[in-house]
Amino acid sequence: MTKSKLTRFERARIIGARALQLSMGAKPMVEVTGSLDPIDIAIRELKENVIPLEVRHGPE
Amino acid sequence: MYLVSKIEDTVRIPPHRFEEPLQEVAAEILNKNYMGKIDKKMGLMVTVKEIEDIGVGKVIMGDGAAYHDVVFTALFFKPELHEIVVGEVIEVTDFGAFVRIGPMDGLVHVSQVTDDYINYDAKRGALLGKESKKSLEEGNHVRGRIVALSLKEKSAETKIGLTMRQPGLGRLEWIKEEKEKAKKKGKS
Amino acid sequence: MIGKKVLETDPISFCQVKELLEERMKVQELSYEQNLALDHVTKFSKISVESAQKMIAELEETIKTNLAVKMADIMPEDMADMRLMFSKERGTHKKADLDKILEIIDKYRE
Repeated sequence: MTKSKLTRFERARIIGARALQLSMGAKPMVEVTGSLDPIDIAIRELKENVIPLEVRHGPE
Repeated sequence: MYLVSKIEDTVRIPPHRFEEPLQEVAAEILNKNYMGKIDKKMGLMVTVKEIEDIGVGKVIMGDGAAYHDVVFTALFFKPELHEIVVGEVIEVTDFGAFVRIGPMDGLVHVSQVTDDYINYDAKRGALLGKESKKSLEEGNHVRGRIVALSLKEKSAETKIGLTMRQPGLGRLEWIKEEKEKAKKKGKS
Repeated sequence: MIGKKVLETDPISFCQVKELLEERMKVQELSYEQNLALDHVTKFSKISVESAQKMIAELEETIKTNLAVKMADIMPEDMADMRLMFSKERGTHKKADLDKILEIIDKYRE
């Protein structure tokens, strides 16, 4: 996962997908302090570059 | 008979199980999805045997789960027309005997039990041959041939018709007797 | 429909099913259907897994795999049983061939 190269669209997609996973019971990769909103947690995960997702382009 | 099939499929791993070992979770989910299901071509799925290959997960729009391409082997029970089967009589009724031939049951209609005229003894729960004194009761082991088959999606709707009216078929004890008779005849 | 695509299918004999389900039982409680299957193969499997595998391999040289596996399940005892097994098979079967198959089966009978 390369944070710096993500476009704003990719960022939105990743945060969206990750927040949905967190809301569905995935274990957060960062310590949860403060906000319990999955979107906030996903944003913090993205900042710390620990989201276990990567962007794949094209078919498949 | 039983078959092992290698199958290509996609398995959905929900987010709350991401932390668990992937292969085990995949096997468990596939088992839950398919166990006891009947496929017309493959028969009744008994159990997942092994996960042979599992790819990286993909996330699709609108779902947080990971979708993995997977290749797995599974055990199936598939009755086939004209197949010779062995089984245990589990229930006797006035119209025939139900025989357990695996995870499914087959029915031997009274007319297909033996060449003899058959009476139903409700007290004993047995089918009795009029001339031959043959009897068929719960717990007897029999050998039959599948002569009618309709595989449906649901186990309860699947019907398997058996016959025991051919040489070499019937209750195992009858077959033995037949053979001994034939041997004696051969000698004398 | 189970799965997207079936890559290959192989028949297996009662004793192999028994082994597989017994392994399964150690990991997880068996379902209703699995119990029925295990109960049935326990009652009706006649030879060990090793014998079955060797026998099927040997029989495969002359007959189809499906029939070879069926032989391991039923274990025909004599010519009458053999004729029963072959009655729905295509083609003619010479007595000498059937004798040879029976000879192989006799080697592994327990």
